[in-house]
Amino acid sequence: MGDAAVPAMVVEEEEQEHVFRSRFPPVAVPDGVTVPEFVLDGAEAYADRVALVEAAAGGRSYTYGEVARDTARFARALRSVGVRKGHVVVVALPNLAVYPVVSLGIMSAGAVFSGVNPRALAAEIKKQVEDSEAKLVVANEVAFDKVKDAGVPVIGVGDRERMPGAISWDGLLAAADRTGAGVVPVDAAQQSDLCALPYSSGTTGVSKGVMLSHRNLVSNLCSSMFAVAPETAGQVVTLGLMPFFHIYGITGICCATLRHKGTVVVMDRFDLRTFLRALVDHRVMFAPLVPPVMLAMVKSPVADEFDLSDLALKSVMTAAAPLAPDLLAAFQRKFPGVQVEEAYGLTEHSCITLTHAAGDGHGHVAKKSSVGFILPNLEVKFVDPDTGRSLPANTPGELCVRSQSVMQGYYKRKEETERTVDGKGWLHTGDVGYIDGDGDVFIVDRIKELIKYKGFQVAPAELEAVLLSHPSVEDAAVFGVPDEEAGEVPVACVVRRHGAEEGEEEIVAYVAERVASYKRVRVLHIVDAIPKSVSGKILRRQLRDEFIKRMKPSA
Amino acid sequence: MADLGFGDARSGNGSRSQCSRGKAMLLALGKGLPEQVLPQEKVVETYLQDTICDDPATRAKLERLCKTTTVRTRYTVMSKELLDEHPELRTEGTPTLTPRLDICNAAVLELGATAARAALGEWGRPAADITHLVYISSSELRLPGGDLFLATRLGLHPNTVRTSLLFLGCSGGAAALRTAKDIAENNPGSRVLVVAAETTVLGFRPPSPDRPYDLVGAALFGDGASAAIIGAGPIAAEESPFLELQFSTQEFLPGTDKVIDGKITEEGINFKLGRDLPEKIENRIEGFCRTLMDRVGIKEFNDVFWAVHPGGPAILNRLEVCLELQPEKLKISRKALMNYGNVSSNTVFYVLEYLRDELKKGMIREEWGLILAFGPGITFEGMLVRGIN
Repeated sequence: MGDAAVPAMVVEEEEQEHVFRSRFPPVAVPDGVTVPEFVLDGAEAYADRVALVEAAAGGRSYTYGEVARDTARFARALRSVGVRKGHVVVVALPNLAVYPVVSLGIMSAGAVFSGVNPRALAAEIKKQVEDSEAKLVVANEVAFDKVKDAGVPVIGVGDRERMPGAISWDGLLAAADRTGAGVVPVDAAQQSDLCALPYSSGTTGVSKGVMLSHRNLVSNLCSSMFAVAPETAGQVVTLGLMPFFHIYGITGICCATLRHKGTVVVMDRFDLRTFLRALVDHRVMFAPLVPPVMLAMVKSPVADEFDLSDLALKSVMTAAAPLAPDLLAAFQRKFPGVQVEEAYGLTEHSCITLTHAAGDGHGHVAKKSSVGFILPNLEVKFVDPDTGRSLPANTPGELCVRSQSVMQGYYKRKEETERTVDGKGWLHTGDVGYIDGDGDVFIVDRIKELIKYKGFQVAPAELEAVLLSHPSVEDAAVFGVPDEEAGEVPVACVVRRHGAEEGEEEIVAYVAERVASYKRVRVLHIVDAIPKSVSGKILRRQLRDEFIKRMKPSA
Repeated sequence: MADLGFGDARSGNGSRSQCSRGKAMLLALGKGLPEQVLPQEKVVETYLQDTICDDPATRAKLERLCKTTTVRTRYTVMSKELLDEHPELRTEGTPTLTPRLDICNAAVLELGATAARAALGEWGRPAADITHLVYISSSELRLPGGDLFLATRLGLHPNTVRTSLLFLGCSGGAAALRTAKDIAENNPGSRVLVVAAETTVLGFRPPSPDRPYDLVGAALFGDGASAAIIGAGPIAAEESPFLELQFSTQEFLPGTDKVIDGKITEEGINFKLGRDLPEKIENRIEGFCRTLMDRVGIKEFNDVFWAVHPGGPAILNRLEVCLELQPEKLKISRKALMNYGNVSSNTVFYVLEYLRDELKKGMIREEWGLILAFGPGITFEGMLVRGIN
């Protein structure tokens, strides 16, 4: 196996399963190395090169030498305050240059890194601290007030005066530098140990801790970086705008870039001027983004203040949220040299699962509307949700994936784990999709968000795509609400483009002309904005709950 | 040697770079700290959790004490692993002297050896050149004592003359300096290694309303070791003395033997510090310091630099007010308290380390200084010293 002659899809005879694998040969995953060892391997040779730099004026930066040194110092400091193998440390920091040092330090100490949105509500952060049984929290001024009463000690990164009661980061590292040899024997982290406990975004159901091992992340990095050309080591500049508390931010952006000895340009909150300035000044080559940022790049007059003719930008990537076709077209008109990639990933699968990015010379670019092709080392199948049988190509079913990146389970939730990862190691994603004859994967929708109209399945994403093709529609979200007669009916929330005059009826009619009658939008609301998660996913469940709440009194 | 020929202290600037012949000098310092760091912000949670105490009044008192001690960081031998291994240490009323001594004896040796190696490294001469060892601890009991194990561990010559100073408490470090000074000045060519090593494991216990003082201990005391190398001239080329030990004295205050009280029981050592301790010290401190300063005719307390064992913030505050010291005079003493806590006999060496740094940076304008420490008795240890450029 593994030579170029392997067809894009392989039908396995065993149990008549339709299992699909990557068109690319498998890649080796090194044994015995932890995530920090894997990521910082070879850092000495790049000791003076910038690894992380904050985009904001006067921002902090770290060289590879400093990243390696402070990762080791923080790991020692964590041990010195009693953090041991398997202990969880919650990190409530915004995107800062120090962020990867914090997470790699936690992993180096054998502990478990659990990122949380520093702008989440205090109660949400506290819930994660409690559910994960965290021993420590790392925070800065943004989140300090929210974590100070969470019941565990807080290490404060930043201005000590503004975080009374926090253990100072600088002070702790300096104190740990002075400690002597350990009386407590060091229990070194193994590759099979847990290293991360991200909480899966609460778009569906309660937020759950996803247990990931060093092996999970290392194998995911090996798969997703399969096409990275060795000769570009030390040259790639990546934009670190996606939140680092999210698995994609810390693994897909930070760990991947540091592994390849490139530079991460760190940005906390999106601001178009800072963003464009970073693209120009830092010569950013690869920028993972969300669609609204691309929209701003295309539409905002602020963009005209910058000379964007000489950008180093080679590609942008969006994940989690579908890209409207007219936005894609407008973006490509304005930035013709920039490749637009989409990716698909799950926290439960350590990060990226499918991708468009095959790098130069690999010769395969997945179709625009697909979420990419299968990465090396992964097995994928599509399962009929009713019968549980795997389906052949071009037949939609629940996407299931099996690889060494599949999580160890949900923390303290055995039942949910068993429902998600079956006895044979298949992770059931809850997403409905199919693979075509070329090996490109298309996602149709979330199973749980499929609308059942009189027994027919209606995919919200399909209707959203139709709505977004209307010239007056800026953004749209579709969800199902209970209906006595039909079971459920599709409801749409639409953001109108500035100056557009079409009313609800016209837009409803526009959709009706383009879809089967059972898929018609039954109710349409004009709204100011569509609520989205930090990774850009439409919060359909939230919209649905709000809609139902509003309808109740009048019903 | 008599201390003659210095004349007026304030006119002595011209002779500062010269070492007084025959006087002992501080040649090197080193420290050894355990692996566990205890940031003060973590004390309440760690201590109450380790001792399984959830009394809100105790928590509030400990929280308050943690702030008033001004300590920020301490180092401890006690760890979760040790407590798991010896759960009896968190239970009241169990005879625990044996496991405590096992832990302490091993820990002080480990810490002491680390400190000694650091000092030997800074000194620059081989360990075989050490002629005397002064060992000081209030945290161990065994026979033979830690001094022997230390000499063995460090590879000192079997002829090294050992002296042990045990259970002198907080004044022990200054007492060891005094002892080393006398040895160095009376044994030409000798090099004295001083090692002080302490751990609070001997007195670790769960909080109890009957013993409010335990909470002070939980908020103030730390563990660690220090080492110093002392010798009189001739000074070898690789040696770089920074402090000359001019004159030392000791004094106890009659009738105060109960003010600092450490009772050794089957449950380890039980400390009690009288509330009147700062006051007792304050009552005698001026006269004691004058005894030292009179040797060189200095009258004004702000005309000397100060290295004071920081037993706690109250003692330093009393000293400052009573002697009308400028605030920067006790800065290095406060800094040692902040970064290490009260580490019993060790603490004065941590102050001396900061003193050395300031001397090297030229930040000390005064030629003469005082080293002070207070221990059970109440015993005052004091030394008049001179900075060497």
